[in-house]
Amino acid sequence: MTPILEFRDVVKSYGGGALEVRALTDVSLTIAAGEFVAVRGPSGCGKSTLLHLAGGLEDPSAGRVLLDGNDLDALDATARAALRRRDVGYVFQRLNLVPALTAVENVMLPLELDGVGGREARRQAIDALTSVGLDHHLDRYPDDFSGGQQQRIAIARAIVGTRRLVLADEPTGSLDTCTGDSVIELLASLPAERGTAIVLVTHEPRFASFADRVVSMRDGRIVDIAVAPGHEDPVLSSAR
Amino acid sequence: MATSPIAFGLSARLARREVLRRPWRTLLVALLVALPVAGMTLAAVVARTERLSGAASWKLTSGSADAIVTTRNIDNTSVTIPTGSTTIVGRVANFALLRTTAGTRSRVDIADLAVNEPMVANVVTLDQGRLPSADGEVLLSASAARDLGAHVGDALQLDRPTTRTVVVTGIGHRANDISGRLALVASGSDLLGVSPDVVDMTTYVQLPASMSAAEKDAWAGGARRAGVILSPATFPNLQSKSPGAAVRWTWVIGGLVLTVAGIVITSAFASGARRQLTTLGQLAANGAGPRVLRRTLLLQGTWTGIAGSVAGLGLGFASLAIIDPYRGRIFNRDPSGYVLRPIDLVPIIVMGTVATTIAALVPARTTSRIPVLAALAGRRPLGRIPRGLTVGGLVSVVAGLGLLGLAVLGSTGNSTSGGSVWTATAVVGGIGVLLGASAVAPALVGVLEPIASRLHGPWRFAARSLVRQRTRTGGVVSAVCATSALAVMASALVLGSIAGDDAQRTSAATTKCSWCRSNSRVRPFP
Repeated sequence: MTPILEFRDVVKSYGGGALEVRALTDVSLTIAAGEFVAVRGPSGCGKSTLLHLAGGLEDPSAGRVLLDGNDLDALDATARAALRRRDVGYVFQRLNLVPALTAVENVMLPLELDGVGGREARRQAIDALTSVGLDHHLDRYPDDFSGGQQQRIAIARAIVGTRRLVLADEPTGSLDTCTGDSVIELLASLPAERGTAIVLVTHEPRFASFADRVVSMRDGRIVDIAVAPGHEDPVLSSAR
Repeated sequence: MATSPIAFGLSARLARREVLRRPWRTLLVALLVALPVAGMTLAAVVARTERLSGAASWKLTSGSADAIVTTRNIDNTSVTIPTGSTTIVGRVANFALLRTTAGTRSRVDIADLAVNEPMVANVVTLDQGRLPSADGEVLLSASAARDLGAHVGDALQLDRPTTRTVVVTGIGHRANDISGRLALVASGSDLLGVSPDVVDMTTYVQLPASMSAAEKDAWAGGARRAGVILSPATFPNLQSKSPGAAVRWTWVIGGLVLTVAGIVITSAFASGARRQLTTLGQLAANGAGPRVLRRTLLLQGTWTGIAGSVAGLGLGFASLAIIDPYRGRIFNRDPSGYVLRPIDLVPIIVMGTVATTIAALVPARTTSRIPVLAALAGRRPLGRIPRGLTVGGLVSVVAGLGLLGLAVLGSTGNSTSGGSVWTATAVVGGIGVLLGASAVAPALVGVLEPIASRLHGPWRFAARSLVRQRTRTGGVVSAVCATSALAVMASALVLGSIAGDDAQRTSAATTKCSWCRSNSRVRPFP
């Protein structure tokens, strides 16, 4: 399988001198297209930082992050924004949607930013919303939807168009158990249905069963990578 | 891609929705724009209406005459009135004293123009009673009647200019000077006995209809050189006085007010941008570049500016409607319609919109540079204050104070002229101080940081909070400065205006007689 995302000896630290805090230390990880990877670990272990580096929201202090073969460090803010529009979708724990845009407009957002015409963008957005189980009240504002529905809209926005990587940062953190499970099931179905790679950061051990691989982190380092039976791939076993 | 029309449309839509989602901020900013825009609209229409075109002004003073010939300014030897012309001769004694035996008095222009003749029918308006038709009858203007305590039908016992009895047959006024003092007597009767030495004679000439335009122009050339005053309606190429300059001044003053208001608006947008950080973070996480973020915030200024400008126009028109019943009193002449030129309003709307857009530019630039993660978390990291900003601000404050001092010294001197120059100096100085204070404000707020560590309890908390939210605090400080500066500017303008009036009164008192002489040239009738 072709890698969509690669971390090569990535170090991320904040502050300097005596106040320096290491968030990530020598992280190397390769994620293939269409793969579902869960990242686990205690609070402050660097899970979210990993996700931020993957989408070019932050720069590594050392090492390289390659997204679809592009070294993010070599791209300026505008080029990174373009890459996020086309290739990467984010799902956060909360405050996922733009409150001034309706559900369908939120999903159309990356397409419109990329210059896709209104009618075509709407068609693709409705397709994406339908695929996550939402097909009515699409012209309502986010406040009119429940938390679970809002996360579904966010997932629809993350997969709309030709995006091949979804980075989900504890997307079930503010949801009840039942709704959280349905959201994870939805995410887990995407690799098979659309060929989208998923990186899910979570605290919940039970979600690990959905993943092809489970990456465990502690103190900014990857301490274990567990591969689900039937998902072994020698190309991807280079993680340290 | 960030410049595609679709992405632009998205920014515009988002900006419009954000404007609607924050009604109080929108209302505040729209009001700050609407008030100067309303003032400019009102002033532009009033300036156009007050300063009539040459043709309209001529109609009020000289009716449908094509030319007037006065004994004062004419070289009689070189002017020949074309054969077949219709003429009316009127006489006037300017600023003559009328005094009754009861001791009431009024300085009036005594005239005998036959205002019932069609050529000059609209020059005097009859308000009550009838026009004088015989010796011993007089029509008084309302102000003269008030001075003399006279009413229609009263017999006035005069002892000045000569002793005689006159009957007031009517009350009226000059069409171009409602408040002016006038005593109109029957055509051909003596001017209440004033000395012939102070009487001017004016001939109103209507050229024959048979004359071609070329013939009229040929005659006008010679007549003008000889001192004949020509009608701008008949000879439109002679139009001179334009109200454009007055309208342009309303734009300049309105622009200054908008500059000051812009600082308050910038503070409002800075606070608004902070509240939108999460939304901006969401946009950035979904692929919006800094340019799109900047444009989204900037267009909020544009939308609010458009709303404020339209509201300001509405407010301006409403004000015009409110003062409509008092139009005659305001313009001091017979009411005619407001003169409204849409082209005058275009710069006003553009200024209102551009001022708000520029005010939104500074917060838009700084906010769009905030890192995506900080924006998503709703945080605005404290950056360093550029040293140039503080230094430039201090220079601006010092220069502004210097100009203000200069204006104070200049306006309190003995000079009776140049009031507007000192006013302008004060306004520019005030704006310099204001802009400088706004630039220095963040550094001033930053001074609280070391102070905060020496304070205790709520004092420390308050000081720290102010420093941590330096942008907002600086904005509030600037807004307070701006409102104070507006008050100072308004005071400067009012004081300048009062000083100008005083100077004019002093000047008028010393040259009263020459004024009435020269005034007769400006106002040919009566």
